[in-house]
Amino acid sequence: MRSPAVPGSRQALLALPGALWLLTFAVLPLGFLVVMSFWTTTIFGLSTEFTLDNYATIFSDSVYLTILAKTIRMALITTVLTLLFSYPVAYFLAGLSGRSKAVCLLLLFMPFWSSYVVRTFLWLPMLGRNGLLNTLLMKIGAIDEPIDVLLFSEGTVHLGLIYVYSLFMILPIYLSLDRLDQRLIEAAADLGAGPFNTFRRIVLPLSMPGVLSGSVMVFLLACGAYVTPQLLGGTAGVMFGNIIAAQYLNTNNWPLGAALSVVLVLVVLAGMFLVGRKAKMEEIFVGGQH
Amino acid sequence: MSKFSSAPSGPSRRMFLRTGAGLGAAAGLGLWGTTAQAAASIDVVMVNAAISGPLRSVLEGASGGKINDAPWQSTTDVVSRLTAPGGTGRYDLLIAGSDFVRKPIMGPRPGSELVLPLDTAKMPNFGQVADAFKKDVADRDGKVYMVPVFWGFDSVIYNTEQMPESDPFTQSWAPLFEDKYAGRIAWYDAAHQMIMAAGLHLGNPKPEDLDGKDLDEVVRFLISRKKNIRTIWSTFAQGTNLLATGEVACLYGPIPVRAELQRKGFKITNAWPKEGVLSFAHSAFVPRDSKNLEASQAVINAMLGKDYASQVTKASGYLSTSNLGSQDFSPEERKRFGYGVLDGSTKHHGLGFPPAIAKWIEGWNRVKSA
Amino acid sequence: MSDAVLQAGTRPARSFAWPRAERLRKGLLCAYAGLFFLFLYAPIGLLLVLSVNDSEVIGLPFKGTTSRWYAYVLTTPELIRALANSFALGFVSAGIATAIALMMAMGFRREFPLKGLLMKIVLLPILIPGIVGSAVFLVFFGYLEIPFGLWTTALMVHITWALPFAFLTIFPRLHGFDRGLEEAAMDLGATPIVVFRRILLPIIRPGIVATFLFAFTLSFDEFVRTFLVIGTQRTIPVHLWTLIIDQMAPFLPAVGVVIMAVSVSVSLIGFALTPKEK
Repeated sequence: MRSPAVPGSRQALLALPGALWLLTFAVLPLGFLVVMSFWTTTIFGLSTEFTLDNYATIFSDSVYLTILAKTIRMALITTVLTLLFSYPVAYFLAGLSGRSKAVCLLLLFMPFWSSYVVRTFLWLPMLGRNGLLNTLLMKIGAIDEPIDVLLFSEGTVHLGLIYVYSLFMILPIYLSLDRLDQRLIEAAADLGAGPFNTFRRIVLPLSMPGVLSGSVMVFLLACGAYVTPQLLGGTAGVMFGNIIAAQYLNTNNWPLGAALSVVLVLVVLAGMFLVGRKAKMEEIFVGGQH
Repeated sequence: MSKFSSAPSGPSRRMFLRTGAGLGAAAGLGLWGTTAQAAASIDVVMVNAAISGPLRSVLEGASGGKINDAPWQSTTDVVSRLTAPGGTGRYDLLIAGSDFVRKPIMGPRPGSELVLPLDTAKMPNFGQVADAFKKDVADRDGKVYMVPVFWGFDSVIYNTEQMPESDPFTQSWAPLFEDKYAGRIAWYDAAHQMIMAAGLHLGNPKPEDLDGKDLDEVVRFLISRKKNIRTIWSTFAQGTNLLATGEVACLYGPIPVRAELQRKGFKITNAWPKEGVLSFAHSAFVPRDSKNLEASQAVINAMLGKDYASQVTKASGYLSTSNLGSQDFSPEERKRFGYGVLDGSTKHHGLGFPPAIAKWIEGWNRVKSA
Repeated sequence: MSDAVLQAGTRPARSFAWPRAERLRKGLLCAYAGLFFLFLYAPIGLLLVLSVNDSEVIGLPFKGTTSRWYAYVLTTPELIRALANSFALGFVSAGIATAIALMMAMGFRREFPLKGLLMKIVLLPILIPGIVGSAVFLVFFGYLEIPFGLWTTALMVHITWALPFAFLTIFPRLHGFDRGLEEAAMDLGATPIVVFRRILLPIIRPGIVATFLFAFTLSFDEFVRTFLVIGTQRTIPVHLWTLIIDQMAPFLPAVGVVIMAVSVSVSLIGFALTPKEK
């Protein structure tokens, strides 16, 4: 495997700057969050007395847990749909070469440079009662009345999320497909494997690190989504992120917001841990060595 | 920071920044820039409409420099910014809903105020605050800490082409809740406002006192009427957009939404509900560690002065708390803008500060999640 | 079949080209990709249309063309300043984040204590919802009394935000890399730095570029976490959010188009300046 002469531990030190940065700007603030979740808010600002009130509120009132369950369900659906829609695109991109590849990549990135806020807001004039889709459909006589359910429904939120997060799925899958050695495919063909088998046995497993990366990113983002459900979800598409945001923006109850976030983080991490155990996530993620 | 942001932009700036030294210098410049700008400009947070257009030049003229206004989110957001650690040193002037901010900024006992006392001798227009708003002045031990500068009211905002103005049904809070305009209604994402409106609609004479069983009833009422609404809006532009695109016929709305739409020529107006519009005042205060008390006081004074007060309604829809504001308006203008509230010819109900606000918020969470 | 074998044997190993028999499949794939790009660009098309719409509403009906929104956008100093801020911040934070992510990815190729834990910690910034992250940073920087600003707090927030994504993007690319080449080089006496520069870097360079672009996009687009800690300066998304919160500014679509156009131009310049390999 590795020769003892290779300075393995020295190279591991490269991970140090990243580790330090994350410790300072991710772990420490998270610590603050956890501490804050045990405080309360009074009219005069934060009260730093330790209390379990926030957690009591969350677990006694089924409202919060119901929305949490709904959010996780919606995040899972969004992730699966995004994966299904994105994989072929990544496959297509990896199959290009030279200039057309660069052009298509640029075309892929371009819409994501017009700002997330604008890109979400755009679905309103697209899907509204007097929006593009309804106007077109009415003009060609396909419908008499505008379709109300296009906007402000759970489906709209899924659409909006897939639209803004597809890059997060396409990119890692594309990158892992791109380094795929053509010789492997040719070897399989030489050995008599049909295209589907080649895909299933060789391409798919080797692209798993990318699939996993992308899925993890999209799932986590969807769990915490707040702008999209707020703009597009109406009353049906309320997600956990909205409830958390409300504590910071509307009700000034930061400790409750912190407690809700902690619950979200724990639930999601636990879920990923369990799934990861089953699918030996670390190994897949780390990728096979040929 | 203003010094830094006038540096060459684009490629030359990026090249400068690319060097490691450039990065360190940039951070250093940024910090240095903060102190250098203290003399030339002040940092404020207020409803953006109140400093838009011609209003800005009036206020900047008074302050003697530039006014940097941070993005406004809500009154609770302003309180958060102030009470967050280090918050008393970040801004020079804050303006938010008086009823909400009074207790947090004054602190529980003398000496715990988060704001500086204001020198009324340096603010000659302070005497012009109308009687109706003297209650919004916050004082303690003879010192003034908060001064009301403008006020407004929430009401049902509706499209006159879809809802007839002369219909008595329209001139009430009913359109937001009853079946008549089902599917074409939008609510505002605010526990306080929506429960007050629902309370008024249900005939409660003092909805701000709702608590316990009565509160539960109103919450259940709201949940039952949720089926009639199209969506719940949370930012002003969302609300404006909903009416402008014809997505809804009416919504619970504040002044900036109505003013914006009217300015753009839409046939939108606010109702004068028989139960009363919901009124509130915004007051100005200076955080304790600000270094620009003089400039901030000058701005407050200007807001109560004739120049600002007479323009503020036309420019933003908000009304002035100063007597100098409506002096030159015709009776028709006074009524249309809402000054009828001051002399009692227009019914209004103060939004106030419900003692059970925490339970209201919980109830609203239930309404949203149901 | 033998034809395919012959062609497979003679084609250069790195290209991912299609044998003849796959034409139908390729056609379907192309068609699907085309549909996807259509889906991606339909709202952008609407954006373009709305940016010249002579209407006070951001939406249909279309009321005739006008260039006044662009005129307004291109002559408003705040917008131009916000754009410059976004760009500068984007470049710097993407650069730093990519560098740190690359080092981490390389470090992860070896075993070290608490590696599994670090793997999970990397995900934290993504997991914490934006609005919470923003509030947490507000309190965090507040306690440490760090002044808010573009190059102090906003920069740190952006780097922290981009880092996990950069790592998750570059890591799979790096990991399956055949170390035989590296080890051979080192046996021949090359120092690790030379190995990195001459062997590793050229092969993962496209991955690094993609990661940098991705990190730049993330920073450029990022607003929720930045909003509370940026002080009074504006980046474009923060400015747009103000416009969206308070006004229903009809020039919003024009701003969106301008941002896109500038970003595209910058990246085209970037592509043109990068020496091409292959």
